[in-house]
Amino acid sequence: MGQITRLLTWDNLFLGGVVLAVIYLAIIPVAVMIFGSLQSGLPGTFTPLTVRNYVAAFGEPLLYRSIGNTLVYSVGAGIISFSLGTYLAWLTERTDVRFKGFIYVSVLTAMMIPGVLFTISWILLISPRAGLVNVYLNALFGVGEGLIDPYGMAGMIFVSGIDDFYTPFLFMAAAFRSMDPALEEASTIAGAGTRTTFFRVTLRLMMPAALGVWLLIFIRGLEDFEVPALLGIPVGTYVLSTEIYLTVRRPPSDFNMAATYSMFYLGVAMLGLYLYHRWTRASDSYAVISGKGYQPRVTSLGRWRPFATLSAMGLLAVAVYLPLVVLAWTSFLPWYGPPSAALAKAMTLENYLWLAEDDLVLSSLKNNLIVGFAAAAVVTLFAAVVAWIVIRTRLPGRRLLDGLAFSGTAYPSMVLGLALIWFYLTVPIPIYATLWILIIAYVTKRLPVSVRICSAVLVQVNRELEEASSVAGAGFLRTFTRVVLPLLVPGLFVSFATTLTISFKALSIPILLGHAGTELMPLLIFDLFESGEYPKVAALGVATIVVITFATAAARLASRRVGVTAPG
Amino acid sequence: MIEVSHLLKTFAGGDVRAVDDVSFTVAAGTIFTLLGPSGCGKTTTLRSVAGLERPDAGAIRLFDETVFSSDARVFVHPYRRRVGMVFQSYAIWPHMTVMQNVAYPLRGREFSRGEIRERALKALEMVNLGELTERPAPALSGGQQQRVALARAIAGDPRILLLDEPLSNLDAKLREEMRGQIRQLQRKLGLTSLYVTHDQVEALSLSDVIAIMDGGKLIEMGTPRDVYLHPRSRFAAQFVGLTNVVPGRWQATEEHGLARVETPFGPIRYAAAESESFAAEDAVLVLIRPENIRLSPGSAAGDSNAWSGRVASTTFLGEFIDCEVACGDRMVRARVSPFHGVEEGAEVQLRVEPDRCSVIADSPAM
Repeated sequence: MGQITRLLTWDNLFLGGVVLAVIYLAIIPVAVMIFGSLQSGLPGTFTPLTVRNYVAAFGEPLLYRSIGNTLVYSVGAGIISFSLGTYLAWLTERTDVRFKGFIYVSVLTAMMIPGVLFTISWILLISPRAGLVNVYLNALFGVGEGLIDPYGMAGMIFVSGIDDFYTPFLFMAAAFRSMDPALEEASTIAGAGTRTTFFRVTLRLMMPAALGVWLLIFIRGLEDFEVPALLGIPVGTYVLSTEIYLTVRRPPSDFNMAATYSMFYLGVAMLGLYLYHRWTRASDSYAVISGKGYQPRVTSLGRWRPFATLSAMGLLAVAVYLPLVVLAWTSFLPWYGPPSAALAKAMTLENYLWLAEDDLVLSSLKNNLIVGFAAAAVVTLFAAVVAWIVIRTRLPGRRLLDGLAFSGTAYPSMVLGLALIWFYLTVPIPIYATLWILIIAYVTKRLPVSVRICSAVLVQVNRELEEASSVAGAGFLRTFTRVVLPLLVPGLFVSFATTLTISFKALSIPILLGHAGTELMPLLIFDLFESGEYPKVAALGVATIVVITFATAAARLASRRVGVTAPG
Repeated sequence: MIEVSHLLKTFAGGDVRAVDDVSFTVAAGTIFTLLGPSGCGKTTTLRSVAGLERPDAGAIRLFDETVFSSDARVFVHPYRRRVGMVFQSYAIWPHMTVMQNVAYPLRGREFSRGEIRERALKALEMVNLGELTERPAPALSGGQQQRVALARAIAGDPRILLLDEPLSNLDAKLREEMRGQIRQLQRKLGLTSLYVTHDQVEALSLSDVIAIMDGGKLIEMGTPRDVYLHPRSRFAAQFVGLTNVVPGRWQATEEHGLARVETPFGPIRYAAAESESFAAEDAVLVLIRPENIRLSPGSAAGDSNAWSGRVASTTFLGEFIDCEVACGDRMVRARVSPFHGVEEGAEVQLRVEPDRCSVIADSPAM
């Protein structure tokens, strides 16, 4: 009894509470999916266990096709975005290309565009009949309708590839920056020319980082939903995420089959993660990317400089500005069409006025703010606690906690959504079709990233700062709130801001978990687009991008005010 | 008073004995220094006293309270030990002002707001920082941060003061200044203090008692004077200052309290302590500090305590000239006045007075 009361301190209750919550968030989805795939009834019912779904799935050619499509799509999009991002990163970090500042701003701008809007704008640009590019090509060269077609695998790979180029750009730029130029200078002094140095030293040293980044994009591609939903579903090209979505949403919906597909999906995602972890651990032996900031060596491009600059501008025009321009243009139109004198005369602010008056828009915005702020606050606190436990304590099982906190990376959003629906339809916790379930989903999904951010900051904080507090008479809770959290502030800001912006960008979580009354902005955009209201979608999109930009800028300013520049 | 008895702390699952059966007592109001090379266990010992490490065995008492005892299964958490500590990195919280840093140990206790401020201000004035109270901590120089750390350590009215290499991050001049300030403050407050350093000058100038540690063990303990002038081990002699170690065979006691040792440099007579009890032909080591060797031109004439050598190298260091003198196949370090006209290659006579050298047993363990 005395033992128990001694353990029942506020410190232990707080730490224990967070740990239990993390375990809960991590375990539920996989447990539910295993259970669900072995059932034959709807969520909320219990039937005898059966392997019938697995038998059916193995005999279903669609499954193999989806898995194949998922891999082709992820590899293809990964190659395009990696090449694009790395090329631009190399130009800005290691050459004397012009307009470096503009390139950086453009990359940051690209980050502000939600995937669903990016895809929609490409449909507006190159859909076979109404797409602006196709219309112009036909008008100019008489090539007929639909020369370029965004629907199908090639279009999916193209759009997704140019959508996500900012991720590899930021990672590779950091890698280029943190490479000791002395390594290259040593090669030059040893008599190697620029070209030899690049291929024998620079490229070799960058390889581990590069492959790690590529694997990261590949894993992201596996769970992509926006592009495959908008460009794949209409022509019957399915990947795992859309396959599960349709199995749940298209009547007759089959939850058990969706759960079974989810198990395969989980398997594919785990394989990707496994490869990533193996590779990044193995490549630690190359300690050249040291995290130090160096003044990198700048290669003179010589007579190639104008061409390189032009290529960068061209790529950015396609990957960033063309979609933005078409969105902005469409948002002022009474109906959608290519630019013409007649349409220019008919331009109107009506769509924006509609935004300010429509109840659904306003309630979605409100929902989105509630979910975004709540999830950001909770996930940031959890991440700080988990990072602290893993890095600072010698508690047994802390590695396991670390692993559990990372499970969100392994759950594709579609699987997570399905699992949460199932679970909260089954247990008597009445949060199905509320904002709570969305908050839980975002916390689970974002916890790995936030833990990583907090850990990165925490390892740089001298342990003695906490010990000094302890010696000064402060117990755990006071040390944690008065010393640890304030020192983590830069990390907390980044974690908070990224979670908040993700809630305005990602469609794959609200697509299954959002309902009438709990719509979030991305879902509203998707629904409006499906019903063909392009100008309204465009106006809503422009407004969303503005909100995201403000949130990000505010977070950056705030974290700069506390003295640390936030990465990413 | 700090009483540490039979302290044992292992790392790496018991493979590394960081602190190995260490016992000592720090008398109330004195400053006690643990001196030793890095990795000798001195910081681990200090951190055990603070409660930041949990030792495997032994006991620690602060005045009349047992704060750790493996037998009685007592472990008092650091935040309940009421100790003040200055960390090697200072550990000044960068998100707080000077005032907030120093007031921290006073919060959550019985003091009123005004009292906290008053006490913190008093601590700051004691380290001459009374005017910087609202300065954010990162805007301080290294020396100022050091003083804030000191003020914070004493602000909470601690029972003991712990200092973990507090001066190692300062430049030489500031170090000397702070050394004086710490000593002064400790005396004024009568604080029982435990000080950890690898710097012999700090240890000699600050301490009431020095304990020399090596490989987790406490090698020897004594006043600075004792430890420097009459080291009882080869390690202590060589770690605290430079020492020439000359092996020899003890011969016999002679009149005037002298004793004679036969060495490769001929007989050396020394002032024998009353406590020593060597027998004839015992293997001993004669310890001679470089500054106690006198060099003069020419060669020795078979005298006791004098022998010949050839100057192998000289280094001018301002305060003195450091000479290496080849005596047979041995090198002897000697320090001579900078005005001494010593030249490399010259034949010289080396001489040491009997009361300027000491003799210890040549036990293989040391």
